[in-house]
Amino acid sequence: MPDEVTKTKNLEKNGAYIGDKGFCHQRDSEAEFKRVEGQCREFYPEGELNLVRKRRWYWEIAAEDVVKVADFCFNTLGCRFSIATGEDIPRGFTILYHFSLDRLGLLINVRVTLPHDDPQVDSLSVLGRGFEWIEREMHEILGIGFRGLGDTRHLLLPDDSPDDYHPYRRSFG
Amino acid sequence: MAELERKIIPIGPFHPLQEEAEYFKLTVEGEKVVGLDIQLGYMHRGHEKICEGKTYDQIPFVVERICGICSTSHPFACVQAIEDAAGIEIPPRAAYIRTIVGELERLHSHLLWVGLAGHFLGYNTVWMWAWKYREPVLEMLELITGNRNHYAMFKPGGVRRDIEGGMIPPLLQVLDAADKKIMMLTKAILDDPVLHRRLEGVGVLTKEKAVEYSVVGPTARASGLATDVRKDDPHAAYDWIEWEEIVLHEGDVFAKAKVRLLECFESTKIIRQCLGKLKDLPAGEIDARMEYPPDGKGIGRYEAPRGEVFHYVKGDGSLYPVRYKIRAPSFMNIKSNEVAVLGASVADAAITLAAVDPCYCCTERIAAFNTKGKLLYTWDDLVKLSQEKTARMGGGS
Repeated sequence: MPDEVTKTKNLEKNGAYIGDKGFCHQRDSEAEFKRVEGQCREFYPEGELNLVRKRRWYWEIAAEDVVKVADFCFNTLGCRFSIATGEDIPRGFTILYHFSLDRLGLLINVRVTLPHDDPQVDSLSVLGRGFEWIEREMHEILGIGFRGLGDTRHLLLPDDSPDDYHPYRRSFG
Repeated sequence: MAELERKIIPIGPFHPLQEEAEYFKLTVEGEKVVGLDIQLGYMHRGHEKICEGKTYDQIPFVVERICGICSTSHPFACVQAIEDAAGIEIPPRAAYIRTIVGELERLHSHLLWVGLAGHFLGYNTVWMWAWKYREPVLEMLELITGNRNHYAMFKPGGVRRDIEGGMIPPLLQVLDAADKKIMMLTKAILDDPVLHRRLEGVGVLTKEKAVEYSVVGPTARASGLATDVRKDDPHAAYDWIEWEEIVLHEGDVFAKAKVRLLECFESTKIIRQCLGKLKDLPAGEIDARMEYPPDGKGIGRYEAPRGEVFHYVKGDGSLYPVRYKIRAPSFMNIKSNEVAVLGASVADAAITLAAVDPCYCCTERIAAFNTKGKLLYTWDDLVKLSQEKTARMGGGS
């Protein structure tokens, strides 16, 4: 092994502090899972938190509280924003925001449901620029409006695609 | 001094520097970059939509073709998403084989990037060396899977091919040789004063910005973020063997190169341990049956050479998923260029944009003509040649 490997070993592992984002890798600590669960329930008791599997939680919240809950996940818990999944389902549009709490290997999937007739939700781009592209993508392919998203140009579709062209809607084509 | 006029330098969508179509609009004041706008969409093929029309057995083949370089990372995340939704546990032997194929891919991908980075700097010796030593890694993949790329190894519930006992000694031999060559290359690069001067302090992505942009993979680990799905979210055999996660703090292009080079040694370490474990496990137990299609949702993630690949699947009990979401690591990483490149000179912009290792998703079919335009080989001939070569290597038909 070159010296560099030993030099650059990640010393921050095994519970060492890595900065404002919390503790690193307490992956197998049951107490830590319980603590995070308690924090979530306490912060947003109105939500429905389903611990589907040990590392896959789904959290149903009201659409108007999305910035509040996302801010809690991103800044308080120290999650990384993995991505968001938009979907057209019979009762409306859903967005699943996948937040990854890397120190536990836990995915907290925050879900909001929006009505078909006026799908509007607050943009999370206020929290960081990493949220922008996926919101632009959902804006064009599903036609979901993001209040506060400054840049609403097309991301994947051609620039001259019409405004009502949303290929991932079930009604498309 | 008079204010400099702002000008725009377009890089792309089609540019000799990029193998893939993408449009970077650099705003410059004199030589200094003061803004970057990135426009995507030139390679959009609608894979998510295509997957919704495929059965769960077909989807790994489709997602394998998203990228020609990390062509096992997408199936890796895909089969894990399907297994998560269907509640399947895979046999340990399959987990080790998956890990071996995944790490071989990381080796060849990192060497490919090192070569390209050298090429972008006009340092073609690095390019030729790195790609030369990448070749034995591709041959190892061919020996195991039958293909240099697009391995078709993974299926929901396990893998398609076993690594037989006879294959292990030649694999270890190639691995030892590769280790020595990569060590030489690593030392040559890390000790090179020209590369230090050229890359240190260039294209810095600070830790705060890395968090804000939620970057992943070597891009994040070079900026001091200890994020690696292989460690964080245990899957395959990563939890059963010993290896280190490489994290640096500088955030510049040199740190990104160093992370990748050092990860190559971790990869060979992982492969060696996995090959050792295979000897103790019963041969042929590589597949757990998926009895019913999933009715529910599942998430699979895998640490591709460029960072976390994320697949989400939602099934309704039928043979087809109702929603399939794919997020490649470059989706998060490329956007961070808009801060990494700020304040740099135009000459540094090219290597900074390339430092996140943007994913090239081009694969082509080939035809070989002689100079008079006569077709020398048909597609069937090429397949036959390829199969004969693999058979010569001792890997079966």
